Amino acid sequence: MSAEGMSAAAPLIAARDLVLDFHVKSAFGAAHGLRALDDVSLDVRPGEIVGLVGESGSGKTTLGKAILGAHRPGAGRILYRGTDIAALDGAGRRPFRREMQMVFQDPLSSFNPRFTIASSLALPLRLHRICPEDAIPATVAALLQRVGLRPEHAARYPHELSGGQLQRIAIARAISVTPSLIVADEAVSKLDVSVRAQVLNLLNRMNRETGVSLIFITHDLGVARFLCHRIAVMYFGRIVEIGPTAEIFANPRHPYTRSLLDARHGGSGHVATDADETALSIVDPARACNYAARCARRAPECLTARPRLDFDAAGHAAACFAPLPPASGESVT
Amino acid sequence: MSAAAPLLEVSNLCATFAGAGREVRAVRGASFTIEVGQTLGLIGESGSGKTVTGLAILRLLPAHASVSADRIAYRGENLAAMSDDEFRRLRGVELGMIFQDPAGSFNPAKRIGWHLREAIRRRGGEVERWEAEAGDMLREVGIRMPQRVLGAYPHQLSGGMLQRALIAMVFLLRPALIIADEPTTNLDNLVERQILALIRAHQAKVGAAILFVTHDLGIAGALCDRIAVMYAGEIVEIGPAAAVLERPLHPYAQGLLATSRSLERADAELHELPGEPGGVPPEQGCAFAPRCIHVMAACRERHPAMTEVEPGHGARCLLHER
Repeated sequence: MSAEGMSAAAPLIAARDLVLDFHVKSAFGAAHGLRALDDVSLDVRPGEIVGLVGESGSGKTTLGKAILGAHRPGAGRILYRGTDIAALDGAGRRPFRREMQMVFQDPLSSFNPRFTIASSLALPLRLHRICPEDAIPATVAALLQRVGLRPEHAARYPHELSGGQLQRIAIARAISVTPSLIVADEAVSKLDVSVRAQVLNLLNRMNRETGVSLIFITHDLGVARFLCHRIAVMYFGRIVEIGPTAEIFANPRHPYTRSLLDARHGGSGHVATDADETALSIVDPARACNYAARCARRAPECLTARPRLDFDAAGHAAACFAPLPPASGESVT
Repeated sequence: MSAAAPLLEVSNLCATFAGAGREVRAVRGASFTIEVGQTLGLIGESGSGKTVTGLAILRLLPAHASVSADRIAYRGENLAAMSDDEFRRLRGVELGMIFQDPAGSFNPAKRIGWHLREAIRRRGGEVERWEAEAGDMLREVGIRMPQRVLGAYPHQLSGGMLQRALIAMVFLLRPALIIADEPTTNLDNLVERQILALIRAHQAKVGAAILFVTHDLGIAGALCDRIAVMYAGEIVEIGPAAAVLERPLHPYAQGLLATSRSLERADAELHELPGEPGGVPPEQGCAFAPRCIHVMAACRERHPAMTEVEPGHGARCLLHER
């Protein structure tokens, strides 16, 4: 059991030692493996909002999709209330489908353009037998109202609605089957500033009212700070730091987290260059810190061993041999 | 160049798209000036007309768009009176453009080196020495192994690398005015900051002016001398960056700022602007009236004029009209 498991509430989701490889084919046919998830463990407790942050390609979407069952991990377990669902096939997974829903970045492409909003919202209600057939129109109207839209929106087609309205409907669809977990993948990234606040407030309210857990995937730390109880920072397929949101912001331990936070506060004028791993003498990349190439605090052992996530009493962990000193006194907010 | 003439002067710029049976007035009477070496931020939400403004100045809009303006002058010279051939000599060399999607700015069948060589040739630089100059420029934009990038095709580079290569290409042309349209929106936070730092450093070095199109208030505040806020095709507020961000005049700008401030503070409930951006602006009155919390009866009838409230800082809002 990981240190995370020591907390009082039993986790809703416990991902353990997930490994996931993609087989990438180059233009000339040479295939090579890409390790999208490299020994990742993550707990999500009931009612908790966990943020996955990191740059594109860091594995945050892959982790979300693996938990939902859209990707099958090569190794590791995903425990849903104690049942390992990673190993289940399609039929075995079916009872868990209703429990886990997803909201995507682009709302327009997550609706069938030929269905009215009413039809799109009715589908999961029917599929999971949420309410009797004759109660569906009223349920749809109630769902729309809950996300701040009017019942007449039900007759519209997706292209007739704005991105913000559609994203609210995508959230309505996700909560309609009373799931215990929603994975929201960059759900507000494409929205305009004024609409983003509406959708963030809605997600926050849904979490409070229904107790649904959220895995909130974003590259925007400001958004993560508003919404998430805990934040996991990912870098190249690994979680490099995880902890309560306030801790991560006030007291980042991993140099990568620190650089992400610094980037938010703008214009230091310091320009980092792209990684040049060939210049480092890493004998075995599987036994080196994957951030070593870009790290200003690199120590000799970073090139020969893998730092582990060791949790402190506050549930804060950084996978780093040379972590930043706690509470350095420098304010990052 | 006369001392008085601004680098770019745009007065009453309009751009209209004729679609199936209806007209979309994407830009409705935008006016602004940019001084030599200055950065003007054009901020607004999707559909506000900020991108179309940049494209209209550069004559890059498709044929079904009609553009009109009282005046578009570059260094005091009327661009509107120029033939397409004359204008083409200016575009690229004097007036550069950095797009949001860098891939569209490269020929996919040519290597990066070819593009950079073309840029140097186009500028009239020493083509024989192109490799050294292009390599230096790539190093300046943070690419550590320029030789590898020069030999690469566009699809072989990541988004961040390709955006750097595009910026290097535009810098090699040494334009006096760069129109940068959300150049960092598709990039990660860290890469974004690096690229903004590059643009700033280059600007300090060569004194180029920039029209910076963005929806991000934070970036606009960090980069721009002046800010123009667009809503439904109009500039609804314009002024020095610090004044617009600290004392916004227009209720729309006030709402945007309140939202981003409440996110920065991580408030329990974020400040919301009611309604949605986009949509067809009303025939008469203020375009923001349907979403405005200060709306008055007159707002639905009378179109507000740009009113200067403090020196160089004005808004289009009846609250400020005297």
